[in-house]
Amino acid sequence: MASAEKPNLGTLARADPGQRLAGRVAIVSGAASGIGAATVALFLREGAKVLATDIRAIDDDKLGAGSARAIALRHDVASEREWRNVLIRTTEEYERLDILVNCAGINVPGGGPPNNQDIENVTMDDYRAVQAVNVEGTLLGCKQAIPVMVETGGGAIVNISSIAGWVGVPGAVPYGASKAAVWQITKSVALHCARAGYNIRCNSVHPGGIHTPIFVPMTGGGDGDGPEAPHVPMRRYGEPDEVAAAILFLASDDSSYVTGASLPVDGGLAVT
Amino acid sequence: MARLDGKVALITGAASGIGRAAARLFAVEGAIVVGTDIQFIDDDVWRDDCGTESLFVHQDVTDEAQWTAVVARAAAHGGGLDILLNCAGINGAAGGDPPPQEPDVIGLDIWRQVNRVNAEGTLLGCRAAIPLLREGRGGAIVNISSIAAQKGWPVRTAYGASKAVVLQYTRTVARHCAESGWNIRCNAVLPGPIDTPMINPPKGKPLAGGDGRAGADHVPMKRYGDAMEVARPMLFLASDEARYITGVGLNVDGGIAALTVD
Repeated sequence: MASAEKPNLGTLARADPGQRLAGRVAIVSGAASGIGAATVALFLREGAKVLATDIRAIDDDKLGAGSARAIALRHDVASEREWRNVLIRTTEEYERLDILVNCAGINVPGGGPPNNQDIENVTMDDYRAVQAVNVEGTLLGCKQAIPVMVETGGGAIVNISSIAGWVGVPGAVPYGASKAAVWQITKSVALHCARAGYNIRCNSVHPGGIHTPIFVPMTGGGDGDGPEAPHVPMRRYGEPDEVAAAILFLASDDSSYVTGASLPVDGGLAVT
Repeated sequence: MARLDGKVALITGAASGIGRAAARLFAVEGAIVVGTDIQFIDDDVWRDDCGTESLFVHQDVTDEAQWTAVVARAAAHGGGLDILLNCAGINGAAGGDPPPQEPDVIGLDIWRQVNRVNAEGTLLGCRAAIPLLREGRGGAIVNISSIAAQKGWPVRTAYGASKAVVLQYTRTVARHCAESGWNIRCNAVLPGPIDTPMINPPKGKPLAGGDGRAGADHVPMKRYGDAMEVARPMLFLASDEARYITGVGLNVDGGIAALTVD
């Protein structure tokens, strides 16, 4: 059967590289380092306007190309009042919000050195501090961003969960619990927004071991003998850029029919 | 610079639906596309969609011998092979009087027919392509599983099982290639209801209103997806942007994923 008719394939939208987020306004929390910093850099390269927030100061010099389209803000994501202020600043500056990326996360209170947080040693201070940033920070970001996105035509939310949200992490009980909660919240937000008819998608990325300030201290460093990550099928840890690329995909129109989904970025760790 | 510049992509099931959309998108993004299908497609239509550098080859993905010839021809045409998309698939529900698939009545004929195309076709494709992907600059395989791999679906018993095979097989291929030190990634997309000839045959009932909304009440987004909305995630997974992603099953389903335990 030779078919000459043109099927409906959908819209062939091809944004030029460097323009995939042109005209979009994004908030990225946890932007001072690691995955958040890489995401800000990539979003700026792709033409977005970015509010880069962190509880630590963000060095403007490090924002790189397109930094004229970036605003750095001090921001404690565990504070609902501060989230409101970030959203007000966003609409004052740019009159819209298209993308929220909740990257702010900790595994040790105050970002200190790793301590033993297995089930026999974990303290409630540790536990609550991690939940406040990772879980409540994400929940508050979604809650405060949604009404603004609804008003300006919809958008996309990307939350950072972790492979540690799925598998047991005996030495980091608070972190694992927090990342499972982020994954779960993501699904509820996705369903809520879809059912409400908001044009808002919400998805989670699940990094494995990534060379970031939160992860590297946990590895204790390699002994330089043999592969860096023998338990990862790709035999290496990932780079923040490699997670940022997945965040860009989920934040962009390339994922227009993807919501409530979870995307591992882990070198194959989850299949072992 | 397009996202697939310099890549050679072999795409099965390329005459219609998701495979056809992927062929067109990958060509627009700079890849040399070699498409195959058991259906024929007019050469002019094909080149109009996928460019004069592209090639269309007739192929039955269940035929082991054909696979050897097809990957060789694709590599010869493009000067190597970088990407394999296993899009060829059937759901066993085509035609005027398809056999039932419910577990209490399903026959082995339909079970085997669906599994041969979807599961064995994908297995043969990966097996045939891996040696060529190893030879080159490294490569990426994207398979098409389905939300049916994660849900019970009595009227598509064979289809759901075949797509679960594809998902599990994808994970095994990913691990094998990575642990072997080959620079080959393997991932799957899990589409939900997509407006393609598989669920909406040309002569069948059109999706009412043409906006993809009728009959989509079970989808949180309240609409069907279109083929390009699956092709774009396949582009991401096939491109170097996903270089630390392997063994993943990515739901592309308008939010059904949020109602899925897997």
